[in-house]
Amino acid sequence: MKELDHSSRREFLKALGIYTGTSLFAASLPWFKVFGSENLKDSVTAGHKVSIGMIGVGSRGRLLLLYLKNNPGVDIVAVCDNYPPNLEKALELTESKAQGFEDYRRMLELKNLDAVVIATPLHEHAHITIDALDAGKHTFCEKAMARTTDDCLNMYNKQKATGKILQIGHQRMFNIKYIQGIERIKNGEIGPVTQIRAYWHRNNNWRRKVPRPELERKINWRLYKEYSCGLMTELAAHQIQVANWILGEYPESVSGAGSINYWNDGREVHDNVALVYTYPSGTQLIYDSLTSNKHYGFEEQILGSKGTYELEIGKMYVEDIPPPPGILQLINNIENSIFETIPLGGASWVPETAVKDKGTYIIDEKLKDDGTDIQMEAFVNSVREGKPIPELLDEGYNASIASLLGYHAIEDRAVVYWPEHLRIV
Amino acid sequence: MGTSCDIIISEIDTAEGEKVSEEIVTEIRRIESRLSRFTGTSEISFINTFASKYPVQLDDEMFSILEQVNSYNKRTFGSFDITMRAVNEFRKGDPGNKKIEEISASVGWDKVDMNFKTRTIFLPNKILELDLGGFGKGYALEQVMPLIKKFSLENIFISLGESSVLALGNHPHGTGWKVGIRHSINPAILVKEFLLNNQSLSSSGNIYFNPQEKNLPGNSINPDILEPVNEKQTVTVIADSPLEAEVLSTALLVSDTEKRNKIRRNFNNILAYLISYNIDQSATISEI
Repeated sequence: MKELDHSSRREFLKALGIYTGTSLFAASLPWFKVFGSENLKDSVTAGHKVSIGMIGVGSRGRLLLLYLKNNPGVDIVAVCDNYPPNLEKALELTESKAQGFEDYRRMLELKNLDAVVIATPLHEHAHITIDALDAGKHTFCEKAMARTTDDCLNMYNKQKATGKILQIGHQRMFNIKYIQGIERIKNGEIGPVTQIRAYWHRNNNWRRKVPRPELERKINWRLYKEYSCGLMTELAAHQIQVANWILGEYPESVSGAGSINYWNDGREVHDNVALVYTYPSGTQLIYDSLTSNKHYGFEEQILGSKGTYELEIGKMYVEDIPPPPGILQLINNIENSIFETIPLGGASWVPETAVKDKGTYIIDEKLKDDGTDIQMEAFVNSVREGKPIPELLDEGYNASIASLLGYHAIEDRAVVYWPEHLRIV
Repeated sequence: MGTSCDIIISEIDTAEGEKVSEEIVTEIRRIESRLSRFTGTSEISFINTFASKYPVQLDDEMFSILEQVNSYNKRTFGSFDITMRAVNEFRKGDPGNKKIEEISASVGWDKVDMNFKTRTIFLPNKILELDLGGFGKGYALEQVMPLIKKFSLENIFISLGESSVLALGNHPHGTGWKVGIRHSINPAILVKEFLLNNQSLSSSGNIYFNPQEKNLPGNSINPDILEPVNEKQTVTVIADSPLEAEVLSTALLVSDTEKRNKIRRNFNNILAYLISYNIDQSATISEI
């Protein structure tokens, strides 16, 4: 694994400058309060380093490790994995400076540990998180929060009880393209949002190589219901979070269907799902995911009465293409009782070229960071301050609950309503 | 036709305006669906695919269109020629494994076998293709005129991509409609202004504004020599008939001076201007 480029901080600060001092912080991005530019600077120059232990260092865990290792305000003091090849690779990445553990409970006993980062299989998120919070460690846990809704609620309540930080990994919340696009949506650029469509399509078996047959369930945990809810918790949770963020609410009900219609290889989780989420405002999120066709890739399409956003590709499309400049001038003249010559043709006129709305990019440049780097930096900042980032946990919780309710809707072939006991205020 | 359509109707209520514009746009789309070679299901695509195999039967409208094409070809002494596509593609660097000699021997409206009795068309070779790009917008505006009459509209301005305009009646705050042709290199300057009074205006040019295409040769082919027009110039024609304005702007653009004068004498009640851009980017305007 190569060293990561940490220039995403520059990109982010540039974009952050746009928002500093605006009401946006309070309105649509409450979690950005932690990013007062001074704080961000502090995290680089502060004398005190935040000491972090990594729990679960498979491919995702090692990626997070690399981001954190690049942060001069962080010391990775421990890594933990109960699969030796993963542990060895992770220790190598820390140049053996970190202490290695096979049992996370031993690691939590370390006194010099400020925080832990959990990137284990889904079914292990809840008990490790709860143990870590009980041990007084601030915790970053990858999405989805947990395998069951009750576990999600227990984790949520444990954070409230301990006051320690619990952040769930939703990197789109720290992706500048999403931040700017969603700000513009919330400012009414495409009119009221009337529907959201999201999909994640892949064409692969979602399997990892298994060195010995007895390791199948351990390595390919995503494919078994005991450990994972498949596409719903591994992919959909990200996109449901985006829908919740845009609409400023979470779904009241969901119905859906799923099946194994292609990868009939002994897996238990569905290889294709399709769902409809209904929000209190009456807006629907239409969602589907499959692993047998990648033509459409993945996208979140935000449909409003005046336009459409495609956030993954980062483009906005208008419903009505504005008239060419000469015609626009003619309309303005008529409205202002002016009778004068309007210009036709010329430099703005491209003969015989189709006028189709090819969309405009939300931001001009291609970003190096999908939000993960800044997300980890945000976690480090909040650990240093000792305060949770506002509303971040709520976003993670609601996205996870919605993805799990979707899973149950598919499993039970029923319309599932958001249960009262899972509502958080 | 791949262009934007803007319709301005003054003093009309919203509901009526929407109804009128919907009918106009529907008619223009219908024409596009028949004439565009970019649409696989259009009649033109059908002709281009099958008329080299057997004579294709034409319906009333397509026969009438090709009759008019034939007539304009004669009246412009061959300068209006809808069969230049293969030459154009070759000059743009897409020879399709064909030599220019083979293409030259194959194209030209005179090669097209139109049977006016049986109303069929036959293209004697596969290189010969029809392209109504320099005809479609004018024809569409022409076909829209009966609709305007049907709705008893007197004051209306329709623009197809700002290069073909139909201006009927008056601007709400003046007489006629004032339009100007932008300087192609310096758009802040108007090189020529016109007052349109129940007239049409059409401009054709060989100046690319799309940065990706600026190094390409002009896409207007002079049928007499089968070479693109390399001078940077545009032609603007004002005529009562939008179709006539469209056809003439194309035909005059690709012709040399002598031929322009010859063509011009065949058409009455039109105004035609040649705008040439010099090396110093200044524009020279001359009436044809």
